[in-house]
Amino acid sequence: MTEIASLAVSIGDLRLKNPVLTASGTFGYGLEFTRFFDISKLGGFCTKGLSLEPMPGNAPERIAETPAGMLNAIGLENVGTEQFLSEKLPRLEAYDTHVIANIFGKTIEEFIAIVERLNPYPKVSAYELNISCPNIEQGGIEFGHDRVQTDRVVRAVKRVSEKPVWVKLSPNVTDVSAFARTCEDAGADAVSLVNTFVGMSVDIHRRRAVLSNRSGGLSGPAIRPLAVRLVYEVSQAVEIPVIGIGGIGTPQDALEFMLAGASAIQVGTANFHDPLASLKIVQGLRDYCSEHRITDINQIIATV
Amino acid sequence: MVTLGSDGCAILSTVSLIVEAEVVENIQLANPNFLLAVRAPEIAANVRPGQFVMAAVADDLSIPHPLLKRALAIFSVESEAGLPSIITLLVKVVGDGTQRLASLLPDEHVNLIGPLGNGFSSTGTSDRVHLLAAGGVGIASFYLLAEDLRRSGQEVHLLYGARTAQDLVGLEYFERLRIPLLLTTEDGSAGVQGLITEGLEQYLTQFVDRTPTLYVCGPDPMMKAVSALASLHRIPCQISVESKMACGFGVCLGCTIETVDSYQLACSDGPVFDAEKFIWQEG
Repeated sequence: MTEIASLAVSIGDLRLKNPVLTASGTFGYGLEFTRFFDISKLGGFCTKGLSLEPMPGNAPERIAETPAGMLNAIGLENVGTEQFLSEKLPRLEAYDTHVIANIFGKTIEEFIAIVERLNPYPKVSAYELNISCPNIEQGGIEFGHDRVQTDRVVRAVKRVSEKPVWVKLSPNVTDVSAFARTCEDAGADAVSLVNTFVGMSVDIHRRRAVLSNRSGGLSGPAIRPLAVRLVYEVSQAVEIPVIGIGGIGTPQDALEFMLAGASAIQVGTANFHDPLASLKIVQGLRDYCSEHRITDINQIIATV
Repeated sequence: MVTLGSDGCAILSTVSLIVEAEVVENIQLANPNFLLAVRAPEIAANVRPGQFVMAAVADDLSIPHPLLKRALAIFSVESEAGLPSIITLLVKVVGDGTQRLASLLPDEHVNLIGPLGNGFSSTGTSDRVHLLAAGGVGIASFYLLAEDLRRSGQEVHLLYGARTAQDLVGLEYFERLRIPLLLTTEDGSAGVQGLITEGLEQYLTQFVDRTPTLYVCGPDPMMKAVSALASLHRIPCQISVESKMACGFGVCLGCTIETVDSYQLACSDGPVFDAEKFIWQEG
């Protein structure tokens, strides 16, 4: 009888039953997937990015399919913090999984206001700061592409936060590791990477950009090797845990990231075409461990 | 077996399932259209007129090509041994995804998520007249609706327009329902030469006393023109829209359409919308 491997990992003080999370913007508010499977089987999930006030998002067209990937310029459409608290969070109590609130402010004051509003709710396990959305004119991009601003927002949130603070990093900078170090120095509990790569698609018949926003964020298997390399580099550069994101759709993909340095992973675009992808990855990690006689998945993290 | 989400919110009141379905038949209609019949009893038992599935070829590729599933209206439901079992999907080949679906052979498999979307609301009384206006492959949304309305004894007319006679696909299904058909083609190769809107105008005048309800599915310019007519005659009009979608079940937020109230999702708020509330995009 093979021993069942322990898949539990720790991101700072937060213990996850397994390293499989789902990425913000690909999993709604979690509830949308409860009709497909028991989301309690996941280590956790990141909510759709929450702003202080509801946001309508960008005009259509918002998405374009690309080779082994897709571009999106949703523009941070979300229900806002209040509606999340009144309509979504109470119904998430039924699920034994960590709810990571992905949050986004146009100013540092807005980040603080959202955190103070969410702090009293134990069902929110951690914050993931979105300082790297490529599709908004103001806000995200300025914080995520400027280390001084990154430092300021992380410090400000850490001062008021009663929960672990993760920072989601943009790959659209020259040196992602430098940003990760800035986050670590400012007190971040973890960094998650990567957000989408900025890309563009042109409609040759209409002779214009496919997306109304012209550019959008590229996700899916197409970005995976780029993301693996960045996770590898950042995990060498900082002591805090790194959460790997970028085109993960199978257990093999998740393992690649973990071996390269990720303590946990997020499944993103795969949720769209295979809503069970994250669940299959949990099972696949268990199978891999038993095949390779690994008793604890922590044994493989950052071993490349 | 119906598996409902454990959570009772509105969006989840639709039963949606993830199934791998066997191809029963793949009939080539007029180029480039196919009618793909797959055995999916779980979906067949739950579908309402106007709903759709997300579909992709089931294969062993580690990365699906194309990555995303394709949204396809459920054309018809057929029974086996007295129970709903087979759904048919009208596939018009426009790119890699639909090409691969069109190439499927019996005994091969598709991955499906469905049924999805709100579907038409057709709670009319029997003295009402239901006018179904289809353009091209927009016909895919109407067979189940026509069948349902006929079954409940209501009067249904199909107005069906396309570019040429061979673009009028699936006609034999509607002929079987014995409903009055008005066909139009742009080149005059079948039915009346011209656009659907021209014939529709007469119908609206003819049935004005019987509170007709209009249902429209087709290319945007056609739906826009028909909606304008409905508005002019103050007739309730439901449109079934198409939009690029990555997921089909309300999370990618990619399939946004604009209504007078707000942005809405074609997949989970729609695909059927009240024409009065819909804002047509330019070009």
